[in-house]
Amino acid sequence: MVDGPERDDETPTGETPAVEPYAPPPSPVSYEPYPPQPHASDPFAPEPEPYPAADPYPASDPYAASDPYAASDPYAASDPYAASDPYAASEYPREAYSAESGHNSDHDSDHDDGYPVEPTASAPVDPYAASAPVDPYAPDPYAASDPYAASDPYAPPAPDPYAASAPDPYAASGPDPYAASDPYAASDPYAASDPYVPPASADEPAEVMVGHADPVTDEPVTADIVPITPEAVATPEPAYEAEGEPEPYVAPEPYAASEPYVAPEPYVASDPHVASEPHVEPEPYVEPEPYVAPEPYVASEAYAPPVPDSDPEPVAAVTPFASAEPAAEQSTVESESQLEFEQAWLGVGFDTVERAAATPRERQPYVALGLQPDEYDRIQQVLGRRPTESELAMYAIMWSEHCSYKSSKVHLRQFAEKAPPSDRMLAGIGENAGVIRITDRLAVTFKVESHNHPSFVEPYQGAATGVGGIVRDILAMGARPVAVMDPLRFGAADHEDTKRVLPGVVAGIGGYGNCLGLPNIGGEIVFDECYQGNPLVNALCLGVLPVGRLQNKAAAGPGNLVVLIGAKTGRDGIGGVSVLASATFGDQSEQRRPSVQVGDPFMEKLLIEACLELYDSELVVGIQDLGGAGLTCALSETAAAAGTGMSVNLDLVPLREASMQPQEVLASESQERMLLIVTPENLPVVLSICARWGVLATAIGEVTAPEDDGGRLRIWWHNSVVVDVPPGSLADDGPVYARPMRAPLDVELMLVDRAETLPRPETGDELRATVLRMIASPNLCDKTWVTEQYDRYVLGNTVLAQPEDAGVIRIDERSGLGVALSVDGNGRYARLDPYHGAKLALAEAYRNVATTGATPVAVTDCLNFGSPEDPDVMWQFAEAVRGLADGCQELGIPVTGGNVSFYNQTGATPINPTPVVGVLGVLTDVAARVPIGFSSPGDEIFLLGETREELSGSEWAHVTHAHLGGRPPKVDLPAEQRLAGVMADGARLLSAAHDLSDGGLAQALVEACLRRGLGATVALPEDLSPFLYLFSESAGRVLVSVRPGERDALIALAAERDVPCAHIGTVGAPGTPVVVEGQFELPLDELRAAHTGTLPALFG
Amino acid sequence: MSTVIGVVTFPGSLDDRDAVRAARLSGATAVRLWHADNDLHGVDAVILPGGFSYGDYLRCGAIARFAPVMESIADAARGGMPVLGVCNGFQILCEAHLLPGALTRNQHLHFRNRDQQLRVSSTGSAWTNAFAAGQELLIPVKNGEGRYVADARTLDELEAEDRVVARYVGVNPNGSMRDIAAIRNEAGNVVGIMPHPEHAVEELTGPSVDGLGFFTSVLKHLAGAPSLQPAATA
Amino acid sequence: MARVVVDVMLKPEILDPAGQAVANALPRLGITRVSSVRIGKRIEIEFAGEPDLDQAHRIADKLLANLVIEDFTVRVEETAPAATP
Repeated sequence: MVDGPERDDETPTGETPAVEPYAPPPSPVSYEPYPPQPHASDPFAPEPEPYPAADPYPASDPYAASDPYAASDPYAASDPYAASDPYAASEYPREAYSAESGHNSDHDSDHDDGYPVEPTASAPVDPYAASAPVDPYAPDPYAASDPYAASDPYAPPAPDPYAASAPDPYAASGPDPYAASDPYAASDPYAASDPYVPPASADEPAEVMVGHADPVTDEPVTADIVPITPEAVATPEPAYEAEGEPEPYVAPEPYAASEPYVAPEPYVASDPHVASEPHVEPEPYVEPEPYVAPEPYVASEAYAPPVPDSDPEPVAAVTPFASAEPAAEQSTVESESQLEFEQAWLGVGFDTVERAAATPRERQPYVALGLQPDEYDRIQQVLGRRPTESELAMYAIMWSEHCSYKSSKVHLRQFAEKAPPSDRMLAGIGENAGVIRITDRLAVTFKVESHNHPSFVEPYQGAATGVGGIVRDILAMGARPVAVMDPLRFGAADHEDTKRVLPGVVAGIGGYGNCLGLPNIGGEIVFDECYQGNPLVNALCLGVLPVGRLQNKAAAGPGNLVVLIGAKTGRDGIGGVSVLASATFGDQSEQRRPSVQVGDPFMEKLLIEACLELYDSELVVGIQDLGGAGLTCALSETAAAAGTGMSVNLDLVPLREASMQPQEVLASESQERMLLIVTPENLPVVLSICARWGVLATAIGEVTAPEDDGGRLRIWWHNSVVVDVPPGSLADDGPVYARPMRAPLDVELMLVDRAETLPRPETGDELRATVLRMIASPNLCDKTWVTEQYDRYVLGNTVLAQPEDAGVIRIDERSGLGVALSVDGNGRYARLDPYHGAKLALAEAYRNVATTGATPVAVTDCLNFGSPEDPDVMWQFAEAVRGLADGCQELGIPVTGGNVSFYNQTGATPINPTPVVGVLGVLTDVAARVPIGFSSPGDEIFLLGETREELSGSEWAHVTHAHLGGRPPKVDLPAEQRLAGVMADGARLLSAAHDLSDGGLAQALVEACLRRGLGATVALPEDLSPFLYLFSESAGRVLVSVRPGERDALIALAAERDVPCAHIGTVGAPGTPVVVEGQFELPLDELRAAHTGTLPALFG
Repeated sequence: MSTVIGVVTFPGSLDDRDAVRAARLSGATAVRLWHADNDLHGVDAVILPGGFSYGDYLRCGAIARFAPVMESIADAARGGMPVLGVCNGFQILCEAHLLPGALTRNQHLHFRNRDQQLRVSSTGSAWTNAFAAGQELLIPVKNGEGRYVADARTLDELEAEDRVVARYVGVNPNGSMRDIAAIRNEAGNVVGIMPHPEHAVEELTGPSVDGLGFFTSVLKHLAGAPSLQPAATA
Repeated sequence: MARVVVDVMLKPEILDPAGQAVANALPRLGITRVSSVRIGKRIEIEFAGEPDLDQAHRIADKLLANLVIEDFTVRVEETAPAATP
């Protein structure tokens, strides 16, 4: 596995070329504009090779001394927490490091500020570098240990220390271990000049001259005489001490060189003691034949097929300009002849602009790609000709629902129109993710996205790539991802297919998120039959960034380079684009199978670190992640955002499969890729940083200035232009539909079918049984089986995670600044009334965040609906968006970004409209956060908010009666705001707080008790029946506990804010039961068994 | 000059920052070491942190063990330098044969993250001398491949020589043989532990602060407290 | 074209919960005669030129298998030329 230095085996016999100084391999820094980058991310390099390409500290790295990032701390520059590091100030002053610039600008290597020192700027001794002129007579310390030295008969040998005259090209270089027993010593033509005298016996050590003749006196210089013993030669000592340098060469066993040296037959140097055995006359020495390279294959004649009777089919002649019939055996690797072929036969192989202009009436499968006839006409108008296949693919992708939001744009405008003024929002809708400033120097970014359909097909990879996609969106804003959450919705819990989908989805989210090192701090698991054929996998990611590091996606600056980094591009997710079957060599349709997207979290982890280092070094002009729609989306959006054009050479995109067509390369959804815009001066450093992290980076094009009326995106493939479009037409000018809407015919019917009229439990025993049944039901049961598969601790800043109301992440260790996040949705409420259902989802997320003591500041949403071509669904969507926009306006917090997922339906049946809303809040001191679990016996329990008779759409109606009907609970956003104010101001008074939502008070009470294992005694107020108090799902309510001394303060605070506040009970001792006075008693063990047993029983 | 603890970062290491934080909280100075740099920069002790080095490709730790820094660490460990391998670090130490046995897939086949009760069964190591024999700790465990396996002879040897440093108490989270959560080498300077003490060092973010003891132990050890010969058995 | 295939299996005495899970799932497919399933890894190595079994053996020994818990076998396998159908 370890090779010696390369030798030139073309040395003509008898000549001694100068010993070439060993040139270290080129440093990973390349100064060529489009260098072919080796895939340096190969983790399978078992032996530490000398100066591997991915080695960040090669001795020859010109940046080693001057590069402030050469410090071996990979995180020093990109650490957003560094400025807030509470331990920094105690060691050394940190003025040299500022969080904004992220530069270790004055990195003084004497400073031990907790980061490793830089490697010494002076290159350590390079045993292979001929730094000093090589002394031709000095003994080569490696000669004996070089396995190839003796085996290569053409090696320019290290000068033979035993030869006084011209070195013998055939002599083993270095001390000849067999010289002592060499039966040919007498017949050796160099023997006369060879001062070596064979010893009388093998035991007697021979004295030889190691050294050289004095050039003046021609006397041997005896200073270097070293007695040679077989043992000394057998174990050559390394000539240098490796100091701070990876041992570049591991000498194999001595005399390993002896095995391959067989060229001069029949001398076999295997046993040094052979001479002591009875002498056997060996065969005479035969000079080996000089090496003659085989004749290069010249295909001057057509290949003559073999005799016909043995070969049924004659092989076609391989001549460059043969007929257009596909050659079945033609390799798809682009060889010279193939290139010529394709150029000569424009149109055969791939569609170019030139050809498109020449063949305007060629029919194209635009319908199969999802384009309408009027859209196809519009494309022709924009381009002035028919689109090429690649252009058609790009338009089909960019104008699809998924990318253009054509059905939803008209409604989503409300988020901008009704947006409450916010001075915190640094980036909003339209960007990769919304960015909210939380201090002068720090900002957070968060967004939720869906990956529903792929997760039904392949649960693990669908969910994993969903997490990967949202993480890259956060990364593209310049943030370090710090947490993830996942609202998940599946079909019936006991359905067979759920057993297939749920474990796969959970394992995929865990597998990907855990490997990236992102704590999973919350989410939802909801079961409902409507999701049976269409599970919902939404993923949220939170990131943190210094305000100065905010990135954008504009490809600004004509002349700047377009760099693609990350994984190679394959056929992932091409889907419909593969219907574009161009005529090519041979029928390769099988090779063109689109493949399921497979995520590689390790590659994404490297990508994150590389990108953050690039941001901190301010090397990035623009950045865009490649998600759905891959390169198409990235190239067009970045160019359109800046109003510039782009020239891209698609041949430079590193491909996983050589047979890909240009439209496939453009449509590929291969994961873990980002697109950077960098200035040409910065390209070498960008490439070296990527190489250090093992991330493939390739410059594939450049930004061009706008022409006439805008920029042009031009893409080349095999020296032909295959795409020449205005990027704005792809990214911004997609179709906008105002789809017909109609309230579903059953809306009125459902609204009057109220759950308040259903039979309800009356007696204490019935209530007791209902509580047990409810807490064990799939939607309300303990979700530890799932959440245990996620890492919540990594990064060490998770203050609260599931099952708490909101996930709380500490942002600043010194000040305790943190953020709280919650994602909530309720498909049943939205089915009954989309407008209010969306508002209720917003209210729930808002309340969850406020319950921890945080102040809500921003909203994100993921709108999961059925087919927009269904007027019922479109009405639901419009209503939900209107409700959400109105709600945000009332609450005064803006929607910063989100996602729409349409076509979630099974056959003709859409899912319940499921707007999922995420709310982010700020906690000035995470130590003040309020958890959900009762913690101290004797604490007073209060119920804040008003309870009404509201059972429609409730979990009780669903579990007990499988009923869905009536009006969802009333939503009163001003009341929610007042309640949030109490929670924020009262955070330090409260010992526990848990908001009420699904399952009502019973659920909240049981969860609060089971969390820390304390019981409680509760006396329900008299104004409503105990049943209603326990199971009604009125909004705007929180269950809190206070230390006895604080109760008056709480009552006063609630009164001041006009929030109803009722004292309902007292926290009990550990292990005591939950008592509802006058009704029932439930021991904690029984509660725990019911609550925690459901999921393990279902999923194992 | 305070004790300097080096924390190694491999491609894919995740809990290195937390190990650095824990080392600092215990009073040491923490230094980040890069996997490709075989210079240990004069640290007094080394931590191999948790994570998914090299994506856990092939086997956890199988590739990381060939990193240049590992050779230096192996040499230093032979010379008595305290080395703590946490989770993935434990896997790397076993792959590098600095500790016996191997870590395999959790018996129930899932990644599992829970707050786990441990009992310190040996205080005779550089990393556990600050605990009392038999002390119970609450430390998060989070792994998918944490099941410790070794042949019976090795297990008997470990137990006979008091080289099992900690065991799971209550429910064994991954099926480790003999409930082994942590072991040490013969000299006691190298310890591998599956749970994550670095996540139990702050009240705010961890289930307890019991993890600090691991880090204060090494400070004690380096300050000269005799700790490497097993004194009391659990 | 030939390549070397390395098969890595857990040693017989090592518990294989993944294999057990598969074996437990087989009755659900109506298969009852399977008594044991064990899962390993198959690694395909292609050399530039002729396959070198010795080197492959060294690769397997040093990296591909953890000899504490795994065994491996090495063999040469003929492959059909990478076909374009």
